[in-house]
Amino acid sequence: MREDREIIDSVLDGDNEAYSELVLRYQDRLLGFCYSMLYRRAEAEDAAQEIFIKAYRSLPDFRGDSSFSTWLYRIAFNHCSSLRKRAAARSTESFDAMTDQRREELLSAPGAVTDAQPCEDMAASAMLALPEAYRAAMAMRLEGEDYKAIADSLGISVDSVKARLRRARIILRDKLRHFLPEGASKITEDE
Amino acid sequence: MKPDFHTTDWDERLYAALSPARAMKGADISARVMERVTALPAYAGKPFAGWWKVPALALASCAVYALCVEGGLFADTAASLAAAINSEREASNVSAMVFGRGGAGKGELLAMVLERGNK
Repeated sequence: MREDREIIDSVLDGDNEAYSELVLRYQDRLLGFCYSMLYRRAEAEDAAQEIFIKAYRSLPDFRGDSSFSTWLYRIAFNHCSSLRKRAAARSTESFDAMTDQRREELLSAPGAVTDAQPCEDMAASAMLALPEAYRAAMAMRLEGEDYKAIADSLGISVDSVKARLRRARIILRDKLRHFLPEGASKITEDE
Repeated sequence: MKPDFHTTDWDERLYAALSPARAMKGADISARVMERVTALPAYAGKPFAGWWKVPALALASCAVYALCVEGGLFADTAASLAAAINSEREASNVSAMVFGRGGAGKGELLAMVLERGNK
């Protein structure tokens, strides 16, 4: 199996098809990350496609200081963040444009405005309750990335990653406390 | 969907419940990505990749040529070089007569070596 750097060099030498090796190698992780950030399968697939295309266009800028997956996660995080910001802005704009009557109707319906992204299940709901920075760290952790890789991708220290994951787990335990066995929701983090 | 947390290591179960693997099972975007990638212009490669080979080859050629000449492998070149050195030596001798300096220099030694190689 070829190293990522060899594949990238092949692509930069004009072999477009070689990029498929990278796509096949990283698509599962990237799709998982996008899903954890957006919680909609169709949106996650579209986002992952866009991220791979962005990565392809930016390949000459990849210097190899970090691994390709770390670099890819960095692009993914920025892309998903901008998608969420755009969605939030759209939601606010449309809310501003509503008539007072319609706005009051929506405000009286719990979750209709504050939860712009409908939750597919309880786990999704808990994840969506996390602040974006925590969710990104948790999403990468869910894909099996280690603290160092997460830190490099998010541009923060390993200690910050640990702190974010710890706080994320505290929030998740709180959100999921009704589904946990007795005593499991106690905050006993040892990291 | 209610996750199953009935294990002792609930953190692992939490991760399993939150894992997107189930939701994204069977998703394959590689064909769509590659369709778009092939529509994009391919990279032309690095135009000056390996540029250092050109001066390196030129320097190596010069070095080999100089070694061959000094080693007397090219008879014609060695003879003309010896002639040039001899004429310089004669000029040097005249200069020594006029100005009082003399003695065999490195040029004379080289000329002797080259002349011997031709015989």
